[in-house]
Amino acid sequence: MTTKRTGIVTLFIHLVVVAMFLQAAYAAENDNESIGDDIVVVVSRLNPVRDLTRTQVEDIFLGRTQQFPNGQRAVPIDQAERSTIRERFNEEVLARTSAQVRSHWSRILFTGRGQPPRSVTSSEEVLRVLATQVQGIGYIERRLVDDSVVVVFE
Amino acid sequence: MNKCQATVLILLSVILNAPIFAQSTNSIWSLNGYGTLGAAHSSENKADYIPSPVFPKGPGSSYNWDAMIDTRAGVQLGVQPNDKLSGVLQVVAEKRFDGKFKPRVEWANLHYALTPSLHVRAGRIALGTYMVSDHRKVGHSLPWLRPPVELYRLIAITSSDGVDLSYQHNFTGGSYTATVSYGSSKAKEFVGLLEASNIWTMVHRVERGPLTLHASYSSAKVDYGRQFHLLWDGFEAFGPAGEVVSARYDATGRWSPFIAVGFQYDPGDWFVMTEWSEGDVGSDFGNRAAWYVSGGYRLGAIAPYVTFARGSGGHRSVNGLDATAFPPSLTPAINTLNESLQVMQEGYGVRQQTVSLGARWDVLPNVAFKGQVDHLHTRKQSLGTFINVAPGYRPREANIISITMDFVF
Repeated sequence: MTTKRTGIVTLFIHLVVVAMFLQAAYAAENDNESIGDDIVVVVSRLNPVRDLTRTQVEDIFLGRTQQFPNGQRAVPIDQAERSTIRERFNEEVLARTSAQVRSHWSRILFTGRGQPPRSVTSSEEVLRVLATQVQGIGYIERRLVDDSVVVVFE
Repeated sequence: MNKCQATVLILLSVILNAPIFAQSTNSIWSLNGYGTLGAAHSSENKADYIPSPVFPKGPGSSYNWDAMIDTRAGVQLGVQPNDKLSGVLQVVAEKRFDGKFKPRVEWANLHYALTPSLHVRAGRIALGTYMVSDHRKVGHSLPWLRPPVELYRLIAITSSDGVDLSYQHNFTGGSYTATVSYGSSKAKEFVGLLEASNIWTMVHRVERGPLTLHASYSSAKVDYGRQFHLLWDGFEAFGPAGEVVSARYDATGRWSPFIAVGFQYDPGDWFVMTEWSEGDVGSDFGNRAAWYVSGGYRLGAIAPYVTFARGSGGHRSVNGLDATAFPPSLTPAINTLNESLQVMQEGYGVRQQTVSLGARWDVLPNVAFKGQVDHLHTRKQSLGTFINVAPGYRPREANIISITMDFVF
């Protein structure tokens, strides 16, 4: 009995230590590039949607709806896992930590009710996808907004 | 640290650093997984604490620290060839009724969108009886270490092999979803095979921003397995008087209806949640009900919570066979039958309340540690959430300490 308890408790102590190392590495990764620029939510210029509320953006990115308010299909485009812009979007627009967003999606994913948004590697990639996908909605730095997209939430 | 622990550590280090929700953007296939590693200790050493009726043993008299009541691993394969059709296969390995840690198909179904708001699924489907029923095994998706035990153990059937039809109506800022399902289920429990040939479920769910409302009605025709049949056979061997007792208590083939309502408010920084449920098995074991209220606050990566849960219902005593109507030589046999019935009654009505204090620590976006302390108060003539109780003993108060690590990938 004593051996067993020591075994499990020892294992947990090791796990916490490993996790703390990884957390330190994760935090360092995110401190590297801090961007002072605003994050804006954009759709293709060909999409008739011109203005969304924070709740509407939240509903689309958290999978609560698959439609824009006008009834058209909405396809959210996320940015790379653990990227600074994604962390900031989660915190500033969705008002949730990345862990909370992950927890939310694991609930939907593991009940077979949906898949998290597909993610692309950069803001430039978001623009490229939106150029061909009128149903798409993404977020980028304000300085990267060009003629091909319209800002629907800032 | 021994070899086994080292293996677990290495495997977990890989998982912890794995890309979350691994999926190649162009593929129609996706592979994801989740898991929990847990350990629990009970201050009550004359009985085993079990959070779910599937376990044959738990922390307490069988184990000082039990590593198995919360530990599990799941993998899910998803396929979505187009916008309308998708399929999901989920296999979960956890400790089963026979004490062995082994995998089982948790669900396997095909989903088809008839219209954007009308969806049909067929195969093995998770039942949405309670607010978090369908994802209660995904520790990472829950604010608590485990769902409130008094309420969540009332429904032992969690998946059904059949079909469901759901209709979603979107209104300004939210949605209403109604789901009707029909199917059957076979669940192996410690007491035997729990077989339900007909399960009907109707679930209403309203989601509006941080608010979720949930209401469900379900009814199932259940066969409780061999151990129960032996008892009824025993009573019936005593002729008409015994048959009366067995007819009073044997719920085989009778409808057992359940209703449940739930409310959740989660704006992000804090949450409150409450659920209430009541049901019976259509026999003299009686009605049983449970409710809980829970709240938590998020301080960055740390989220402490508190839960009060209470189970009630069932009866204190049973209306068994009257030994005085039979020759004295039969009295010991009749007493044994009546005692078995009494133990069933005491195990049926979970008259117990639990105050839980715990915290979740999101160490990484896909990894959370949790710790929880439960203070249980079990009432007289109820076994509460305990089994393997020492003869003549009844648990009254106990503390359970649990730690887990949840991950998703």
